[in-house]
Amino acid sequence: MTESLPSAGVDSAASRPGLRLFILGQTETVRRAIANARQLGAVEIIDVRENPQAAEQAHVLATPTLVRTDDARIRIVGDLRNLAAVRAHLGPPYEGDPEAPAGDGDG
Amino acid sequence: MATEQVSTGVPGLDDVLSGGYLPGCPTLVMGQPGCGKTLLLLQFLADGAKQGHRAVCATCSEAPERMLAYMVALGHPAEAWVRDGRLVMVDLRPEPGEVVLGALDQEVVKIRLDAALAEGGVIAPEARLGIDDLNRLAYAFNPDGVARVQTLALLRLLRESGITTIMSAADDAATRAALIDYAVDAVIGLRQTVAARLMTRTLRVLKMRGVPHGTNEYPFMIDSHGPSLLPPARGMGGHRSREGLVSTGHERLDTLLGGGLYRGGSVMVSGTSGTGKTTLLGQIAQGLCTDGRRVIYVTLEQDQSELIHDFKGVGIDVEPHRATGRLRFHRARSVDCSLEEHLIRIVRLAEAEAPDAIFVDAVTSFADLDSVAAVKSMVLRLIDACKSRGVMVVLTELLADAAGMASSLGLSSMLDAWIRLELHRQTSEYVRLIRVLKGRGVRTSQQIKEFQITSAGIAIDDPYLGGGAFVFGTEKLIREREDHRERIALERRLEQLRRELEVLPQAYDARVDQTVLERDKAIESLREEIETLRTRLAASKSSEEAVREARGQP
Repeated sequence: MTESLPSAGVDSAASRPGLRLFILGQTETVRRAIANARQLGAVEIIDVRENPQAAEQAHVLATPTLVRTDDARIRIVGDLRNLAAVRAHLGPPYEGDPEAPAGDGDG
Repeated sequence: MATEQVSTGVPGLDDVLSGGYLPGCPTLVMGQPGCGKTLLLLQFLADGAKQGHRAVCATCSEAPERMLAYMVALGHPAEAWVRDGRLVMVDLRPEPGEVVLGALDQEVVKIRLDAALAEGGVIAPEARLGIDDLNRLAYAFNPDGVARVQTLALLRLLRESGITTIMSAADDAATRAALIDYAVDAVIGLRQTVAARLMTRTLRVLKMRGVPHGTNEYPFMIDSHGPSLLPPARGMGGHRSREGLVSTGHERLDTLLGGGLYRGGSVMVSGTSGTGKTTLLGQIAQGLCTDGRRVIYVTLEQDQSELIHDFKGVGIDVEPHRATGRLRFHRARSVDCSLEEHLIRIVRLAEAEAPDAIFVDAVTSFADLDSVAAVKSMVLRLIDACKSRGVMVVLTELLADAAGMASSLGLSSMLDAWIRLELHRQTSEYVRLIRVLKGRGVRTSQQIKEFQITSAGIAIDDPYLGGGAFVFGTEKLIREREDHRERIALERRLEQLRRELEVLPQAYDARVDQTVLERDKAIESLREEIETLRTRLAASKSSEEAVREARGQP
């Protein structure tokens, strides 16, 4: 099951490449990761149990994994607790984005 | 969960594991790089695919295409299997550039594997899973232990899933700590050792829950067909009965052997250098092939062309048999590979070609590679393996001149026939001798015969037996000539005496007649004289009486 949710920063959504978040179930770690990811923009959330084929195609080895849809090599594994580091790894246009609200750290 | 053990696809390994891998359980194959872990895993998967079962090959470090290429190189139609869905590749290699920020869960790996294993949403009990280089799985064996709890959770899931799984991993501390104790029910350790500059791979079962298994270190080899091993227990007691005798094609040799050689039996030809072991083998090969039998001649010393040439030089022409394929030469050099690999190669030949006989000339060449004890064990297993396949095995053994012609291998109990060739020194020459030390269940000749290599093959002759001693060679000829002269002389004398015997009685008879004659004459003359004297005396007396009467005296 794929779930697309509008991001907080609607204004820049069109100009930004999409993000895909692979999760498994609804654990505290997953909820935290989803909340953190949504602060970055539009995120497609994929539960690997519902869609193992998508996980296979993306070579997901752990959940949560955040992947840039335009460049699958850019990916971050974990609950994304340090949004500044996540932005830095995602690179432009996410890197140093002043419009997006700051991450809530370790949740 | 399957109840029977799962075939490994590796020749010989099922025997070591008392049937195969544990069903529905993970088995860890552990070892240094280059030991053959991946090959064991691939053969296991190919064996399943061959039987039509789903096989999933997950790889943590090598590209899936590489794994497929390995399988193709082993002779499996891996690409076709991938197309028809029997073989599914799962790429568990980490993405480069991935970073970890915060907590993670590895169960997704299990979900991906299950998806690959399922056919129509169900995982069949025969499905097979292989995970290559598990210790390279991202995050799992991180030395700082970040994901240790998660990793152990994943391994527990794999173990509890009821899928027959082979995991390969490098033999290191992290593997041992995480896998052996927590994750697997069976552990197979692979090792490679280098002795005498030759590499030997060995396999040992370190752990196998609930199954009696071989505990030794088993040497194994890897060739283009993949890994294989030959456990010592194989075939023991399962020898086919030796079905009758086969002629060697050489009448005198057959007689010496008590009729011939056993079909599917074992024969050893022992002798010091230059006694004619190889020539004897050539003669037997020639005889067997002429009879329509197929022979593989494994030569460790000479090349095929040299052998054919040498045989031809002594009147043994094997070329026609080589041309028809009845006689196949197989060149092996002792230093080509380890002892074990030689053994497996020869047994492979016996299996693949199913010849009537395999010749190995000479097994003592293997002593370059290892101790006598190791060679003996190898030769025992070779004999065992050939006999259990109904293939006659004919071996030569080079005896050391210094060893007093004693056999160093001491294989007597495994042999059906044992031929000894010797050089016998007398006066100024050496002569070749042949004798049969042992012939099981047949009446062999107890005699030592002279063994000659002529321009028309081998010849077996009786020795000179006169004068209470065995004499061979030129001296035999001399003695025989002397004997001949002596015999003629004796015969002449005999004739002479016979004639004398005929003449002698007549001579004596004549003399007897003469004597009787003389005796009668003597008697006669005596009688005459007596008569004369009596007459004269009587006459004289009557004259006296007439005188007295005339004188008137009383």
